[in-house]
Amino acid sequence: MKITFFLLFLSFSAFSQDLPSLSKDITWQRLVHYKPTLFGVESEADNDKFFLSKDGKTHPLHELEKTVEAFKQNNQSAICRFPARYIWLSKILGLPAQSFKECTEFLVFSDKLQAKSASLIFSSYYINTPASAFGHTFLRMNRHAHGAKKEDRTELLDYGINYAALMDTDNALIYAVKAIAGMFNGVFTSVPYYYKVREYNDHESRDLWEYELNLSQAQIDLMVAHIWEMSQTNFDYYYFTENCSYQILAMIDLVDPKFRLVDRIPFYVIPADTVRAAVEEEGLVIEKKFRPSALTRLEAGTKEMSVKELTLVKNLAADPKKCESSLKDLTTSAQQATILDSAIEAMDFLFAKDLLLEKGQKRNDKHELLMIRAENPEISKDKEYKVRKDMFPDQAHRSQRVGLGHGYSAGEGSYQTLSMRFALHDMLDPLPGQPPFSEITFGDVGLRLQQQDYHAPRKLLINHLDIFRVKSYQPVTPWQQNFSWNARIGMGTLRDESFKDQLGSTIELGGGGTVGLGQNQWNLLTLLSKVELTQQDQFAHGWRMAAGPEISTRFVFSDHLSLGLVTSYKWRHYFTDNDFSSTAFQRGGEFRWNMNKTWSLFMKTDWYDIKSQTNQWSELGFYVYY
Amino acid sequence: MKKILVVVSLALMASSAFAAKYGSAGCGLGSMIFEGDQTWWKQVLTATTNGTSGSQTFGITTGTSNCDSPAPLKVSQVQAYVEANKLALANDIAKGNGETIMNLSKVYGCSNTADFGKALKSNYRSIFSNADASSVEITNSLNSVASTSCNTNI
Repeated sequence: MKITFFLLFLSFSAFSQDLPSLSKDITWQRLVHYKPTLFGVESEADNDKFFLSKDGKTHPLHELEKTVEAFKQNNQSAICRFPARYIWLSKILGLPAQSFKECTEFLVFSDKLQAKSASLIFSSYYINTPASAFGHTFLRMNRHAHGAKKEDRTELLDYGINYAALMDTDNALIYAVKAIAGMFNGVFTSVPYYYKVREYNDHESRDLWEYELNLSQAQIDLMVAHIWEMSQTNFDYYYFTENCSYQILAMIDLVDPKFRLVDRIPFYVIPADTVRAAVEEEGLVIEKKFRPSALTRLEAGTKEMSVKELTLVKNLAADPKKCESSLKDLTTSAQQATILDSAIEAMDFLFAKDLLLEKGQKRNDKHELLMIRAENPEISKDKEYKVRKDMFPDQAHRSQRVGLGHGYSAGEGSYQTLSMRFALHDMLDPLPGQPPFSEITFGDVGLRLQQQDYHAPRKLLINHLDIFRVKSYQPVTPWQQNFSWNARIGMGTLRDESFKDQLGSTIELGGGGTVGLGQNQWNLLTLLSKVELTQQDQFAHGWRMAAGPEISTRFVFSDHLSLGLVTSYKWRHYFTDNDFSSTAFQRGGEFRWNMNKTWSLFMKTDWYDIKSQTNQWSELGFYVYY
Repeated sequence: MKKILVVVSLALMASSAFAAKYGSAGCGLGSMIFEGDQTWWKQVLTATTNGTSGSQTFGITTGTSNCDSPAPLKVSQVQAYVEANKLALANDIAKGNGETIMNLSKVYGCSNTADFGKALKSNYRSIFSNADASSVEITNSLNSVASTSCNTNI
């Protein structure tokens, strides 16, 4: 009876704090991850343990009442489960400040982090899987205060806070379905930053971009407490919306009611957008840093070397014992040390997997090489890797693009085009902050309003509807000889006279090689063999196969001007008899003037010779990145 | 000096405890990356679908990781650190300088990082006695170099 009375009194006094309006406070909404739905709000957390009230997932007020009630009773189990809620509510409700001394596990966690500042980390694309241009974002909780000097930092020992899906299937189909339908559990994890550096920088050769955030110690404490809360629950992981980047931004938003990072990104989140959102939040990012990958370090160290020196580095990396003697050609021990240091980097890059797994002959060679280096008395200096400010990922153009164009075709008259791309980047788009040798397109639609003749009404056609287009044209360098390839899945209007304006569905694959052209590292010449399969009901058997070579070039004249040229020849087969007489010869070019990160002008022209009949299209228009 | 000896002997005990707990595979990077043997399609999918580093390979649940010592910046952390940073640490020790040495020096609480780096370099052969030196062996050698060459300002 007494207890009931006490509870009644408590809930009465709680209401006196105006809990209904407090439950609408942005920080409460963020603490419990409420999102508006058709019928009110719902928390994104998908674990009962995250709520004190049975209907807390959909009732912010009920959840707040239960939380306040527990906190006023000094319920330690609730306080230890929800330290961030306590930190925030105690200030508003005048509850005593907590040292959380009964929360052993939380204290162990926050003691482990010893966080004084935080950085947003972006790992760029994986060189061998260009499709990973989307990159990955996570947080690093730093032991140093922001802006600390280099010698006061122990970044390797800091903790990375990662949000990722727990994958629990080996079946590709189940995997894809679960990934899109949000059937994986997303969980927060913490791992020493050195694991991330070794994984991304060394093993996968991905550059890391670090954005140090200007947050107060109180904000950092709230963040740590909330990370702890989040690590107790799980979320449905949606690959395109509620993904790693989304949750990391929400984590930053929490600590300041003024922050609007999540609002700055489109409904589907690309990790590169997160760093831009952070940079656009005024005063939030105070320092940008770059942590070079194994390949970046190797290339920077060997760029200025003579052919002779480069050969020496290569030979040492291949067989240190045999080539040690040739080091004596160099006069000073400093010169020898420079060569040895690059050879160490070359070996790590070229034989990354063998060395990591500690198997095979390479680990013995590496041991030899390091012993030779240890004998050399020179101490290596700390290296600073300069990177152009506009190459940081936050400087990249936005990933969505619309285009309007006006064109003329010799046989068909004038036409207008409207195009819309959801993501991410093509070879002629502004380069800064983007993977320079790749195209990654997801969802690209082009419509064409075609003038038939002067009297007939204009006709609206789908020019193309590509689900997916990828190109990886990594040029051959002294350190890597990557295969170039492309893939496309989508629909397009057929160019042939006999199937004019019909849509065909196409899968296209190509493979070959790329070399750089001249001194400009962005200029490329690519030679591919291509195969495509097209489905269209009007074909004799519904299918057409085509194959042939393609040669293409990409020139980047300046930060603003680029030109792409392509020539291809295809033999086509309609699965009728041994008839390969149908051929298609295409030449085309596109010139792009990227005026700034938002506006580009394009001018393109294409010639198609199909069965000796030539069609030509020319088009002028503009793109807007948004 | 006395203090560092105590710390180091504690570390030696801790490191043998580590070895017993985690087995020979340890919690090194190699065992983590290739654990579960990622199939090609999974790599492509993770790469194309917002590049989550699947926590299957790298996930260590908060506070309960087997590769994670409970307290920060303690000498008992050295072995986990050595295991994960083996390659980079060997490179830096051969060169006598580098980020892995700077961080290691902080773990030991050394105030003379540059000298510590030089001392490690001149002991390269004893620290990495062969190509297959285990993280336990390396940690023990590091501890003994630290016990003679590291000033702790205490």
